[in-house]
Amino acid sequence: MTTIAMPKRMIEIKHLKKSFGREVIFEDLNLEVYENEILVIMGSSGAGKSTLLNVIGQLEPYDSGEIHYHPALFEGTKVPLPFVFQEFDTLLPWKTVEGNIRLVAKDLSEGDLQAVLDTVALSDHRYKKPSALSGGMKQRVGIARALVCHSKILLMDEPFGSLDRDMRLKMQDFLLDLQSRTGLTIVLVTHDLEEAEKLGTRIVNL
Amino acid sequence: MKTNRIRLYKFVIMALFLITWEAAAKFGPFSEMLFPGLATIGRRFWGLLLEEALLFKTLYSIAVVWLAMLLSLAAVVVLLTLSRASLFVKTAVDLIRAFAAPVPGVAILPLVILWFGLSRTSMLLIMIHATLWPLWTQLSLAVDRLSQRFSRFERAYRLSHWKRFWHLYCLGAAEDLKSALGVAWSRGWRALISVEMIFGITGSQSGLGWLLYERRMYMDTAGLYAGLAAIALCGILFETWIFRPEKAGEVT
Repeated sequence: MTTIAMPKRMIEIKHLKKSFGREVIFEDLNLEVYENEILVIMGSSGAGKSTLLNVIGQLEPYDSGEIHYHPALFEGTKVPLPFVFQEFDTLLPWKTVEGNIRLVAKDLSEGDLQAVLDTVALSDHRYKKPSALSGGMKQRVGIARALVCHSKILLMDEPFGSLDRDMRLKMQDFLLDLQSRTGLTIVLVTHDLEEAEKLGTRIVNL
Repeated sequence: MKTNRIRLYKFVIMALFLITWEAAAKFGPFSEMLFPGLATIGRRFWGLLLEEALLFKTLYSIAVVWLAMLLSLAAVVVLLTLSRASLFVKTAVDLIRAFAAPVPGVAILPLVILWFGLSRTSMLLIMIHATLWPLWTQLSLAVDRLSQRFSRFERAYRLSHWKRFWHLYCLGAAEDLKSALGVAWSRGWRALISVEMIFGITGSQSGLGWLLYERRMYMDTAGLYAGLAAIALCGILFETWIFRPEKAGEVT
């Protein structure tokens, strides 16, 4: 008899409801996020994509329903649900690339720092400030910041939305390569169908 | 290139001003007692430096403004911390600021004298009033801006209180702090000179304001101009050099 290994459910959402005042953003939402997949959440503006990601990332409360997180998500990390934001102005402009990365990982060893800088191809830019970097590089600093948290999942809120087309395509390739090398689970929000089809293991439309 | 031209223009304007002044003093219809020449003012300036402790009085005035600014800054840090924790505190401080900020320090002087007399405490209170509100206004705006920008980041990455306080807010508001101190200095310096002139009546205080009052009493017009020059030089020193805002290209 052959047994097929079922992928691990990292996050399981059941009958989730979220509203702002009287406006219901979504209700009776059911969703699973599996290990090692890139789950793309799509939808038009105002559909509640970023709100859903904020709820998954525990940045916003929800009204009713359930969210179950696999215990493995919380093992060996103080930041189990790191974000990569669309606005790369969440980088601290008064700190260098290294300073921005070290801010979120207190005891980051030199070796680990170098490894993550190599992973995001920023070793030569370690001492530069964000103002001296291109949009794609800034976004890679944001990804590096999330990687040093040693979490098993990345939450990405329209991460390439502010980039021009060429840079966006390069960053999509970079993300696919990164995911295949690290086996990270990624939940990515986008409104771009082309991007969703290229990146997504599965696509959910809100 | 443009900077060099501006420097040249400033030099020419200053030279023209000084030549006109000297010409008016020499050939104008004014008495030497009212309108002394530049050499007389220069000699008096030097004399005041040597005999009347002009330097000490200037340093005294600067120290009072700095003390008031440091006390105000400490108060603002406490108030900002409290206002981050409680919307009630923020609303209360903003409301008090709306009432208090437009009132010049000298205007509350009678009230302060009634409560505390002509004392150092009174002078310090007026100075704190002059410096506190510019610091609060600018720094609370900076904290609001930083909070809005980094709110999701600081929560998603579970930054400690220290990291939030120092790395996000203190370092993030450094430029705003410099500019806020510049405004506070400017308001504090003007308030101090006025207050010293009034407090100096009792002879219980020192400072540049008192020096001006004293020179007028002795009809020492050259000394009066020398005192005014010292006040202007201090203003230029602090506003142009120490609290000079960063130029666009310098911000990294």
